[in-house]
Amino acid sequence: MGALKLPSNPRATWLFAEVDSRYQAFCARLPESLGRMARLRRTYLGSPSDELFKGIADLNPVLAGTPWMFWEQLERLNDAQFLTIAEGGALFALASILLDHIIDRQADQPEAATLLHQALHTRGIECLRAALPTSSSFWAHFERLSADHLAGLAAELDAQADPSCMREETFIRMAHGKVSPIVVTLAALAEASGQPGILPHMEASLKHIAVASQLLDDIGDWQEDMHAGHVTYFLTQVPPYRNSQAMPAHDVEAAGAAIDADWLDVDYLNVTLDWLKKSAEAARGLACPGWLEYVEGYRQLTDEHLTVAVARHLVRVLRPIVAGSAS
Amino acid sequence: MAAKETPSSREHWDKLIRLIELAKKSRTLSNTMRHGKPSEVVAALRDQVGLSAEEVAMILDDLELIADRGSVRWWSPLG
Repeated sequence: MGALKLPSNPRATWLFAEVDSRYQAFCARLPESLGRMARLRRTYLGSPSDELFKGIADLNPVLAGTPWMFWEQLERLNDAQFLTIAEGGALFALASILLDHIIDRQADQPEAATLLHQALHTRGIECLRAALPTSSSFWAHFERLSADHLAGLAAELDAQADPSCMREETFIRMAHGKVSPIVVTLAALAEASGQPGILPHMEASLKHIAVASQLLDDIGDWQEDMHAGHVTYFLTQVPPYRNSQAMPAHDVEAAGAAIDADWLDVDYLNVTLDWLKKSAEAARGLACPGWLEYVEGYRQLTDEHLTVAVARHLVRVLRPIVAGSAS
Repeated sequence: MAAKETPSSREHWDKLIRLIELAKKSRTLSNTMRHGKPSEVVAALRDQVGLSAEEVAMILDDLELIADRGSVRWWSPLG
């Protein structure tokens, strides 16, 4: 679960390896200190060690692997077009990861991270310019998706400063914004392959899974988020925090009791499942077995989380009843 | 999960799975479990899942095993 499953096609494998080697070439052209940073896993994945970044295979497949997840729909592109867009998309996605870390204050060298972000972003756009003429309707999508990205990040900052801003529509805008740089790659591939009609389906599928992904993160990490004072949509649905102007003291016990009383984890895991179903439905008409398998894998994982959560609540409710009837 | 061998324990296991699936999907059962009085919970389990009070006691340990599955990874699709 979670790893990119490449299509069983030697050309797909070769193209994937080629994008990785282009990333290494990009790192080699950077000033030495930035090149070193770009080769470290922790720069993108937050791991505390000095492990080397293994390239795009190290990332969650959705971040830079979408050209392969929608392979059957996109393999008609020639090698040069496919590679240039996949490289540009990968750099663009890496730039957005770095920007997230800078904004969340998780980047361990924020000044250098800002410079590396600029290098990734600039090179990413250079690749897209090389692949698509200025007359291409891709550039209108690029502008729209860049605006979505910015709006999502700004909404996140606003919600961290004032939790009352964190409404459902804000949360959805944030999730859509987060996935927009990834949709840029698919927009470029759809336009370059002469299939503009597939973009709305791929975009909807990505946006729906982005909402599901964020919810799943927030349900699973609510205690860590509370300790860190990180405002999430899920936390703002827990009664002690509902409608509050600021996150109160980190009362994990009270929040846990409130989640248990209303089975909030169950409710929001069901909402997550609904978004995953929408994601699969949006892509149903496309030739993308790899993508559909990926979405289905996460649907099953979410359903397993739901089973565990329901069982936990049932034990909590039934134990005292059984003990009462036995005494 | 505990191995199920005898016909009677198999029946209890099937009812346990039915209980979990219904509690996931049925708003009526789920609401009773969340907010009902003990007598309402017992009646709902009997009427909607076919579980007697004695059977509830028998399935609790298996239910707890499922609740304690700590190996499910919280890994999101875009994480």
